[in-house]
Amino acid sequence: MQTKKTVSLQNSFSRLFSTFVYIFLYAPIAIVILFSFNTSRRNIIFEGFTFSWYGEMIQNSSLLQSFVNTLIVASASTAIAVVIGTLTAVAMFRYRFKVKGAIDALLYIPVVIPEIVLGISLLASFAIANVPLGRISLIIAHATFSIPFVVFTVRARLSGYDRSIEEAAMDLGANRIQVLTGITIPIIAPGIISGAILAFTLSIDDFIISFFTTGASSITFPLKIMESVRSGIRPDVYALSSIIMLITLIVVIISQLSAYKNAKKSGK
Amino acid sequence: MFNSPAFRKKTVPLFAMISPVTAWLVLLIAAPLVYILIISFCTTNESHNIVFHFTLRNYARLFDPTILGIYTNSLIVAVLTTVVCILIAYPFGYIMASTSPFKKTLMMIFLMLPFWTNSLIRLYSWRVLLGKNGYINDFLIYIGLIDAPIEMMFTRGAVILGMVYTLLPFMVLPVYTVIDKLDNSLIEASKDLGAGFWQTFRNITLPLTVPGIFAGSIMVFIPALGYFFVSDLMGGGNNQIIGNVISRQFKEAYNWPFGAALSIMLIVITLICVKLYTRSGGKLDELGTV
Amino acid sequence: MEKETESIKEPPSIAEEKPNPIVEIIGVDKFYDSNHVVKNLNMTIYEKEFLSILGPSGCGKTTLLRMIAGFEHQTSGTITIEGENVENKEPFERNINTVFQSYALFPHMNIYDNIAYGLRMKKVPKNEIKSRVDKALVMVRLEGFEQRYPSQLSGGQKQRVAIARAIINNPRVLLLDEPLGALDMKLRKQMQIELKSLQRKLGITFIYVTHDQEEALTMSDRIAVMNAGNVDQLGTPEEIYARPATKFIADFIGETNLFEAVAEEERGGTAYLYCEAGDLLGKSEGFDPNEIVYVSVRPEKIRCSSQAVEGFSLGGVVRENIYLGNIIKTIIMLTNGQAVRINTPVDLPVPALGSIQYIYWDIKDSVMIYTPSNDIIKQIENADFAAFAGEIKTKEAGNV
Repeated sequence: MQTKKTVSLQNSFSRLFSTFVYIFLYAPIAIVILFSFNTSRRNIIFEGFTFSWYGEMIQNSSLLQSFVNTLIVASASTAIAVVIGTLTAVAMFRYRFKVKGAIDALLYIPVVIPEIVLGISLLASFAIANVPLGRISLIIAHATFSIPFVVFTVRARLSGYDRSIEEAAMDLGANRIQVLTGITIPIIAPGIISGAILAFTLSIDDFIISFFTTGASSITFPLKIMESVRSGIRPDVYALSSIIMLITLIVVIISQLSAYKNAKKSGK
Repeated sequence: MFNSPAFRKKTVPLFAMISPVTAWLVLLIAAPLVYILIISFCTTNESHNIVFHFTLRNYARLFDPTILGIYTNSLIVAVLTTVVCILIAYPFGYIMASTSPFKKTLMMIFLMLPFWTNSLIRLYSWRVLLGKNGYINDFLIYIGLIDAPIEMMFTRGAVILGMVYTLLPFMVLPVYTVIDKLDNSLIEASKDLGAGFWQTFRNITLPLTVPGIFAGSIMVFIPALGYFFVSDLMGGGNNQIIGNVISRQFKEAYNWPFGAALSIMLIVITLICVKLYTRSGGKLDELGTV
Repeated sequence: MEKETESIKEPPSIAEEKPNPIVEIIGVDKFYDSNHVVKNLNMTIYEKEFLSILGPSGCGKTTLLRMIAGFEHQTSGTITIEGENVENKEPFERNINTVFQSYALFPHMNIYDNIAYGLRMKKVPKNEIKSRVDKALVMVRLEGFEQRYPSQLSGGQKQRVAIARAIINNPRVLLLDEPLGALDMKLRKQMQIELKSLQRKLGITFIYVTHDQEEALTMSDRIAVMNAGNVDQLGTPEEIYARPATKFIADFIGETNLFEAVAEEERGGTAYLYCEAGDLLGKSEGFDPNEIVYVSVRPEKIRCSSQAVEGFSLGGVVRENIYLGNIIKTIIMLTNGQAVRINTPVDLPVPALGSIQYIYWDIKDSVMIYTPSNDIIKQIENADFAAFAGEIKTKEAGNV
């Protein structure tokens, strides 16, 4: 029998343990934010408070350029992955066909094999196909590892989907295109959106595959950070990171709030 | 046949829907991997170009003591990373699964939030905490645990810490999912039949949640062999893993065939892990949902 | 409940006027790979009738319905709707609507938009849609639910939305695929009555697929009983209940006792038969001596006494008396081990547990089911003989 005492003991252990986990996760982030206000350009000791790095960040064109490039690559590769991934998931849900097993197996490869292997194999293929390393090769590479994740999230959404809903729409006079745009896509939209968010975040944060598949003309934000490690990362990188974090936080809060409202509306 | 209703209704839309993905997967996943396999049996000339001349030398070089040393170090790092991740993620997933739905969402958001910020910058800032003049040393001296600062950065421990820090959510998510899905009536039945908390945990909860641990282990162990930037940032060149060697062959030494052979070895290790996972009843689907 | 059933069952109106066929199924076969799920099926469905397709799961009834709706294509044969061959008509081109077993409401649309969907697809003007949706909502008694979402409704309410969404399009035929399957017993009974009166009010043909024989008996003008891809019997509920054509139907519709017996002789309209457990009497409809017949007697028609009655010698031990509210069910184990079920109204005496009883019945309450020769052929076809014969043939061919 569980007594009140053991329950409260468990509760305080739970609280203590999760606090430690969150400290572990957030201590480095606190450092990033704190040192973005540091007067010293060396990230060792906090010496004093200043906003100046936020001003310098705007002046640092190569830093901003890398960030813009990251956004472009992430948007383009996400768009490709969403279109191809959604079509694939819907086709695999709807039909039985011969190469289904093969496609399924190939989709798991980028998920399971180490990123470095995918990176070097893409690098070698771009070399043999004479694709110059730059923004295009980077977008192709990012779309490659993003497609499976979109397929899986959309498929997860479809697995709870009653096929007779599509039939009902057809029965009521909707043709195939109307069924797709008016019924299927709106219903799987949450899956598509979470797949897109996943693809976008994977792309923004990707270092390994970008490291192998891009050239000097198309540096991304993670590559820029790695580049500046040797000379020591300057606080303006911290400043940009802090701003990105702030934006992410706002986006997450908004999306969670709207998801919460939606859930309330549909009574779940 | 081309006018039959079945053709019109199935074949045409199906072809339109799956040909892009088929082309993409074949050209950018299957073909490149086959190409890597081919060049792993090739040699290079003086100007680092690949020469299609069959050799097993690249595979023989895998048994070079330095390479073997790095492999051993890499496996130790990956195993320890996995173990530490399980030790943190299991209780955490358990705690998360047993709170209210609102707190669950909150805990999940705050678990994932750090991973939406750049992982390199987060890893880099560990230097401020772990460094000789870092806050952790200061704290330890302040409470009198140590007299002089100790070197924590650029050690194997630091690499493992970095790996755990980067890969933890990949363990938490599958473990949390299985614990959360666990039918509570089983736990109640066990308690009803006279088992205490630990007996219930050992006989019911743990065996039923092992698949989640397996899935998480795959998703932590395999990347931990390849994440060379963690070892670069935290190990500072002293604690290399397989990923570092591969990366060097492609970006510095320009010995692609040897790098390809190293990669094939990594694929073999991966396949063995996945095989063990599916053999024990794991589903590949559960690896793709994070 | 029985009384309600009676009150809504009127003689089928189609009998009086000359009925017009609306759906005709002519020689339809359906294969899934090598699975023959619908076998050379012929059926005519008339205007304004309530036709149930009744059968166990896997008998092909849902496949038949889906072929009429256009979701599946027959392998061979013809389906006509209002005299027109619909071979090349897509579901959205057929003037037929379906109520799905899972309701299939659009989860991302509110009730108003769900019901209006069909009219919107037909580009009906907005104000007309509004008035028709309002009318449909009144008809299914869901006024005020327009803004709700399907997930906020109960099972019965979802069911009504699904019906409203279909009938608003004024289809000539409404197909219903086990629409009450997911509802609880009480609600199901209530919906049965509502559906039947709705059908009469609208005057459209209902084709209703169900595996629940009681549901079919309650609502239908006619019932088609399907078994293994064939229609075994097509007739009014009274015909099917009182004169089941096959052993399968006798067993499937209602509860019955079947005695496998051999005909001995026939005298003055009475058949003298014997089975493993003893002698029995049946209503003679002409048979050959030594023919095997099944005698089906409903539990409420069997009586028992402590002494054998003239012509009967079926004795057994009373094993159970089960109280079921309005009746008591008595189980008597005959000498050959067959359990006979007898229903007695609660106000009548029942035989004592463990006592020896002889059962008998009025011969007009018995139904004789012959095993016609084509039935035997069917059984042979279904058995592995065919494959066996084929195997022999190929072997022979191989030897040559």
